[in-house]
Amino acid sequence: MRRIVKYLIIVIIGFTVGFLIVHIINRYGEKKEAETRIQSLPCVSFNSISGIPVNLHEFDQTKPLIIIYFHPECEHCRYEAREIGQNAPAFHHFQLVMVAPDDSLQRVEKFCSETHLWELENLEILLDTENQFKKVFGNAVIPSVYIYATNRKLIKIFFGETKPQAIINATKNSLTSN
Amino acid sequence: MSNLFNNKFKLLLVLIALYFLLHFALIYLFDTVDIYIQTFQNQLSINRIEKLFKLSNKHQWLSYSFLPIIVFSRIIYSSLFLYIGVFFTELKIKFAQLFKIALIADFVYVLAGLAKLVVLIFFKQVNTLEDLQFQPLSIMELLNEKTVDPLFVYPLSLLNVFELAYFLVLAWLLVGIINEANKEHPVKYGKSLQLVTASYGSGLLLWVLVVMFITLNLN
Repeated sequence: MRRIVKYLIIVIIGFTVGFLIVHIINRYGEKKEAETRIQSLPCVSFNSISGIPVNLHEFDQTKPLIIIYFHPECEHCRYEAREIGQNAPAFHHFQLVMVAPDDSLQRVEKFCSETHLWELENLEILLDTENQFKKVFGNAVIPSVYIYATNRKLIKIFFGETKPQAIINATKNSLTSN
Repeated sequence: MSNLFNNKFKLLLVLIALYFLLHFALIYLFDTVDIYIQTFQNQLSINRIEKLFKLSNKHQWLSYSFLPIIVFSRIIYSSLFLYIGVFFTELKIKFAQLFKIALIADFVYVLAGLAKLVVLIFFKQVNTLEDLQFQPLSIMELLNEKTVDPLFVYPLSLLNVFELAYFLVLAWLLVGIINEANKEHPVKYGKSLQLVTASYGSGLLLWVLVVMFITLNLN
């Protein structure tokens, strides 16, 4: 009996360690791959509010692209969106794309109305209905901001709530570097 | 038996009290709105930082209430893996005895906390919250944090002088218990260290892997 218990302990610990190592190696590999991939704007499509697939490369290539990943129920996203809405003129020269993992159209529309995002002409709201964002970008921190220059090279990532001035400063650097 | 329990309970209370003191000192000296502003000013507006600071202060009691649970769980975890190791050697040692040596050895971590506090007060310029997150005398301290992948920060921080001291103290305390249980065939310190390395070492490896797993899957 004692011998069986010993073998059982070895098997359980060995299996757990093995499982964790394999998972860590795989996940780490995926993460590194995504880190390299997103250095240039990835070729990925999300659905527009009207349900039409929109590729991130379809936007005006003469403007830097700001991708904001958000959730309509997140308080930090709400604050960030409201701040962007209030500072709309400062974002006039950029293309803003807000991607929500939530497939509830009503909630997203309510969020945009409450934060006055509809008033921004250069803003596109997209829905990540098939959970592509995490697969492609490697992370799905809510909220997060990805800034791409006009040549569609990544210049800056912000994880967590970000003030408009920080986003503008990062894009200013991109304009001067171009 | 009751005396043994009382001793252990008193020891545990002293240990937790020391952790409380260290935690209080860290918060009292370094948990200021200025440090929050310096940490987050590039990303958040001042009023949001102040709100964050107030929120953090409001929930500070949570960190105090979790402290005894964390300490107690760590001691139980070490004792459990030592018990598994002892189980493989056929020695007759009770879990309570292993709990006691894990409890005594845990004072090494108090020393680590004290060393960190001394470094922070006298030798380190603390500007941001990141400056508080370090493990003195660790491999991580020899490396540039910016060049290390976040996944490896915890394992490299764990490779430190105090962790090594914990292993040595645990083995030193265990040798006494083994020889008491096995008077005819006393073992040497090296044998006890082997047992600690195999048992507690496995537990530590498992823990590090769990932390790395969580770090990778958190986002």
